[in-house]
Amino acid sequence: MGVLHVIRRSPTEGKAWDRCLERMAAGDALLLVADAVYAVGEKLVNGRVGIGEIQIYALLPDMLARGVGQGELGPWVRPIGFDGFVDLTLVYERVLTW
Amino acid sequence: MNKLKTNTPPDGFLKYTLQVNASPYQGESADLAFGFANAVVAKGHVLHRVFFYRDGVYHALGELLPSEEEVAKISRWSKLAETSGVDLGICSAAAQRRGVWAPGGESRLAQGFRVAGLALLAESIIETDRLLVFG
Repeated sequence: MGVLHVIRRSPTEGKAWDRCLERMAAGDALLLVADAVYAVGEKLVNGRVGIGEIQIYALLPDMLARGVGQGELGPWVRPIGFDGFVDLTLVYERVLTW
Repeated sequence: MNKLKTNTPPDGFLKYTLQVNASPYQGESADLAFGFANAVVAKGHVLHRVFFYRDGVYHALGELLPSEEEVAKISRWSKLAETSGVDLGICSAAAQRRGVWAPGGESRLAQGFRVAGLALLAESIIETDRLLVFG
C-alpha cells in the first residue's frame, strides 16, 4: 500500500506543503493535523496527483481546537479522530510526517 | 500488567515505535504523539517503544513542575508506561547535550523513562511494524 503523509503546517507556512505534494503518488493518503486543518476547505492537491487518486483526512480534535467546523470541509476531506489515525497506519505501511 | 504478554501483538494487530523530536511545550507534536500513543494502546495494538530524540528528551526531566491546572505533559507519559508497559527511552547524547541527564544521573529522570541510544531506536524499528515520527 501507499504512504500516509501527515502534514502539520498551514499551507502558507514554509515549504512543507510543496515538498509533501511533490512526493505524493496515486494511492497515497494525506492526513491534515495541527495548523494544516486550516486548509480543509481548499482544493489541496493539484498538478501531479489528481484529487480522486489520493484519500484525504483531517484530524477532528485539531479542527475543533481551532474552531474549524465540519461544515468547512471540502467534499474530498474526511474528518477522523485518533482512532481513525491509528486505523490508517494499518492500511498504509509507511508514514511520513511533514 | 504482564509486560512479556503485551509485547507480542495478536493476529491482526501491530507493534509500534514512536519517535518524538519535539519538547513538551514546543508546538503540538508532543500532544499529537500522545494522542496517537493512547489510541494505539486503546485499540489493542502494542506500543513497543517511544524514543525521545533531539528536544524530545526534555520529556524526561523529572524536575519539571507544571502548575496543576495545566495538561500534565510529562506525567501522562509516565502513567502510560505504567499501564501499558511501553518503554520510554531517551537519546543519551541528546540528553547530555541539553543537561537533561549525565552519567550517574538517572534519578533525575521522570518515572518510567530510561537512557538509551540510537542503536535501541534502530533495533526498535527492525522489531516493530510501524514507525511514526512526531516533531
